[in-house]
Amino acid sequence: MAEKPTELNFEDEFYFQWHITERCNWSCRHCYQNGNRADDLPVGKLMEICDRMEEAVNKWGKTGTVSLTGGEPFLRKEELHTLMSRLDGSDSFAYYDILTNGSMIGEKESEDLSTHKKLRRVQVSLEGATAESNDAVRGKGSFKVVSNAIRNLRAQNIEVSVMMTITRNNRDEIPALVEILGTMGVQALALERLVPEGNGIGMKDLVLSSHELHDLYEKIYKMAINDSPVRILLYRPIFNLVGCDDPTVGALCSAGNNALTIMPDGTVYPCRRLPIPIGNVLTDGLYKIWYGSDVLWTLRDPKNLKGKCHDCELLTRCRGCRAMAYFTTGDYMTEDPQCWK
Amino acid sequence: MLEVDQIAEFVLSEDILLKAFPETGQYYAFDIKNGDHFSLNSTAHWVLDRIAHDDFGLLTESFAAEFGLKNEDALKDLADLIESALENKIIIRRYNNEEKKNV
Repeated sequence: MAEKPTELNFEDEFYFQWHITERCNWSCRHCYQNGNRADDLPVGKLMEICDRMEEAVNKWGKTGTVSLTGGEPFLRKEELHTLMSRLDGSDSFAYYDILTNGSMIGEKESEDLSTHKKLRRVQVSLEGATAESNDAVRGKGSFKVVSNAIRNLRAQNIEVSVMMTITRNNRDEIPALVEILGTMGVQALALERLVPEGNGIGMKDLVLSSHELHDLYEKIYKMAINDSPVRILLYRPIFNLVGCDDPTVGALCSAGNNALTIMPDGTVYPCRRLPIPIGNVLTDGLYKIWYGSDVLWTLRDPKNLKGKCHDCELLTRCRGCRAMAYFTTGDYMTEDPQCWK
Repeated sequence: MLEVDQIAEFVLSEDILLKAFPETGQYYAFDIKNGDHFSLNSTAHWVLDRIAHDDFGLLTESFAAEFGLKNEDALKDLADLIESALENKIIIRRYNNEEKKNV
């Protein structure tokens, strides 16, 4: 990649998380998929979706960013590369990431990926600092497979981020994971809270209490600002509470504000973790969904927030995780149950 | 100036969606087909909402009553507003079949 794509400001960006398939060759214990799998769209329809995304970001005066994912997106390798080439050639998109389990990224695939000029980063996942803790969630041998994928990607100078889903089982392994990722040349670590949905709906006992999350976030923040060998991504709701004066910490929930999730059949959700269908990009179009969805209008208006989120002084910067509220209470506008404020 | 008469009726364009947030003073018309969006004032929204609900027959009188205007002033303001909405394709002119033949 000759030139690295640059980061965008929240105000300038419109983000699409696009699941091009729900098929997957792995079966992770906490996956947000619920077993109901839509059929994949043919490449012509994928291009039509791309056209609509492009038209919308141009109309809104935004710059598009995309995460191409699945399921496992490399199960549609040909279509994936076709889409990447399409995005490479568009002035409407700043960059895209690929979110993958890493199982199909060998040396050749890494070489192929390196030819795409707007590929910013490939994200893989690890659930702990050891094969034992990771493989218990993602399957036997997966730690080694992902480690190899990271090496292959880094050998081609492709940026890599690792995502870890925080649970009671792996929270203590974060410092060790940070060190390991540093030795592997990984650029970034994203830490997501476990939302008990899909396969993970029965894992509520592994969700951290607000007190536990507070304690953990304080430690993560200290790690992040004290010469961590990898950049720890802190732009998530509730992180605001530990770095109130630091503009790089925390983020307004993007659901309803500057993001949409597109599923394999074109169904649109406010967020992948908030799987409430609000239309279909092919049959409704993005404008009807964006302007007409009652769910999106509800999410946009902070006055609809309930509990302590309703009166919080961080309303313009946080609003909690609506998916966490939804899957723990059934109401996506209740207070974030993991907020310790 | 557009003549608001008994012949023409106006309807909201089928691709237009109105949204109102009175507590924050924000009113919009969205075109869900081409993505255009228009910021409205509360008066324009009030009129377009009446048109959307097919209340055009009594619009001039109710507009005058709502905003405390004389009928002739109401008619002028309404005509300006409707002209602008027509230009922006927020509303379209509708004729019944018999009238359309004679236009």
